[in-house]
Amino acid sequence: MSVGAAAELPLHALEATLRPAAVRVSGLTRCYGGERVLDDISLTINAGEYLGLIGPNGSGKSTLLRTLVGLEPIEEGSVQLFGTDVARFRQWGRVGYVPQIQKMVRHDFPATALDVVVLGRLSRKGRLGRVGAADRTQAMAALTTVGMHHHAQRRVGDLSGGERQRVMIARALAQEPELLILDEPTTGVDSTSQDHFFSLLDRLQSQERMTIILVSHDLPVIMARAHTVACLSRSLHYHGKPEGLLEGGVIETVFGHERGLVLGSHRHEHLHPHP
Amino acid sequence: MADPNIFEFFAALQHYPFLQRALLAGVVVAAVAAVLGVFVVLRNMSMIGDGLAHSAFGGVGFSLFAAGYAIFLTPLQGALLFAVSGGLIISLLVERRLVGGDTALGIVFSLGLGLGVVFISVAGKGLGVDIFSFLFGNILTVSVDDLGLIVVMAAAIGVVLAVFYQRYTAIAFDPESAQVLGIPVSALNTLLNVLTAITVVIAMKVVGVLLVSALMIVPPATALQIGRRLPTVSVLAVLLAMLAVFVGLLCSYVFDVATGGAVALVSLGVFLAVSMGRWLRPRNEGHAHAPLAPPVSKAFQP
Repeated sequence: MSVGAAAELPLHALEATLRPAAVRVSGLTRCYGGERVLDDISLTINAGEYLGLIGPNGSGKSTLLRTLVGLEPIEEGSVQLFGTDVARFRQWGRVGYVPQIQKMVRHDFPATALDVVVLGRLSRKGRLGRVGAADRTQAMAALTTVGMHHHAQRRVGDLSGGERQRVMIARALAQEPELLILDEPTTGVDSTSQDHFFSLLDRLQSQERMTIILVSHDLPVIMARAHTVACLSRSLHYHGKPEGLLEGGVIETVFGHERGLVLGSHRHEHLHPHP
Repeated sequence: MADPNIFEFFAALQHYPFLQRALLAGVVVAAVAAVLGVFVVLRNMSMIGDGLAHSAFGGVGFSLFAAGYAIFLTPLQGALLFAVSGGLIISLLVERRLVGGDTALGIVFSLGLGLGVVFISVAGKGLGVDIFSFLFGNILTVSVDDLGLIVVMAAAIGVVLAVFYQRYTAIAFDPESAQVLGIPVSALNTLLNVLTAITVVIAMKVVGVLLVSALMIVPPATALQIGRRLPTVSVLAVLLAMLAVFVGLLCSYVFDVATGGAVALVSLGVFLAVSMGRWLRPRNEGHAHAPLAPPVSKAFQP
């Protein structure tokens, strides 16, 4: 009896139900100086899901991501990564996080692009382990993936904002993460490179079964690429298939007068998936 | 000629154990202060050496004061106690986000100096020779015991730094992303503050509290202008600090000036020379080693 093609779909579905969710947020509320920046957020992101997170400026997107990776304290509610409470979570090698464009690294920071990417491997080394030659090879491969291998030996301080952003992406990829969290990763990157980058994310998701959370201002890109969309404006207004987002008037509610900007006509071609 | 010359310095070095101990202590302290200093400078905490040095001053005052109540602490023990406490207070203030790093240093600085002055005035001994040598160092009075203590402390600090070198690099690059790599940033920062406190106390004997930065900050600042990668910068900083101690000691002997001051001035002289050199060189040097960049649009290709 063949276990191949016929069994594939049910197995796939079974796997999705058996693997713990990559991220489980429940009842998360966060206040800054009396004002709620996150209001009762509950969100489950399954293993292998490609989630696009959108919302207007100041809607709490970055705060939510920072809370997921343990950089913000949790006052109310809970966050679990792979079934473990984030405060007790230790397997950080499984989580690649690319923050919003690096505040200028000291221009004289004494490290090459490759040196910075290698540091990502520390997440797989426990408390005392060191990174070595094999890790450098792996880091170089990650730099190649993001098209930065020609710049491996340049000082990070000498790189442009977009180049530095790609180094940080390479560093996250060098961790061999199961969950990749990206906060506006293509800021400062030109549009052709952006297309290549989004194709890379597609590949990582389909081939490596990576779970991806992508924050972007670029709604058309999210609509075309992501499998699910979450729309945040302090509270969660939508979580589901991209198609559903345009129907319920969510965009109008959340973005208001910014709506035209978000759905900018010159970018409508992106609404259709790339060939 | 009344002044001794350079050759006499080397002759004296062969004959006088006190001079040998001075050189050895100076070189060991320089090495550990410089390698630690690289991380201190990269964390933008350059004044921490001075802050902790003034904490240590409070400890010296405390040891004089405590002697009046039959609690016998050597000035060195008092200094160590207060400097390490100062380092922990800085960590507490910064990690709890109560104040910024520079403000935390200012607080510990004032606390140490304030306590020191009050303790000394209560002890009623005035600012005697002990205090003066403590403020400006007295490398020529390093005893065999002092030397032993310096070497043991320096070795311990060296081992800890070697173990956590890569993690401290990640923290220096960006503390937040280091934390998401699973590195215990807050604990390692506290440890670094404690190591800095210990280094300050052993550096006191060589350059005194007021000139600790001459070994901890100036050589790393010089090395950062030359080296492109952290290992190179660390080695350069160590060599520059050792050079400053050696030449400083030599100048002090030849020209009969205070050793701590001479070490600081030599260290600064090298910094100035390197800065001038960089300033005079063409501006495009930073990219000299970089290969030709491919057009950005070619990037991210599968």
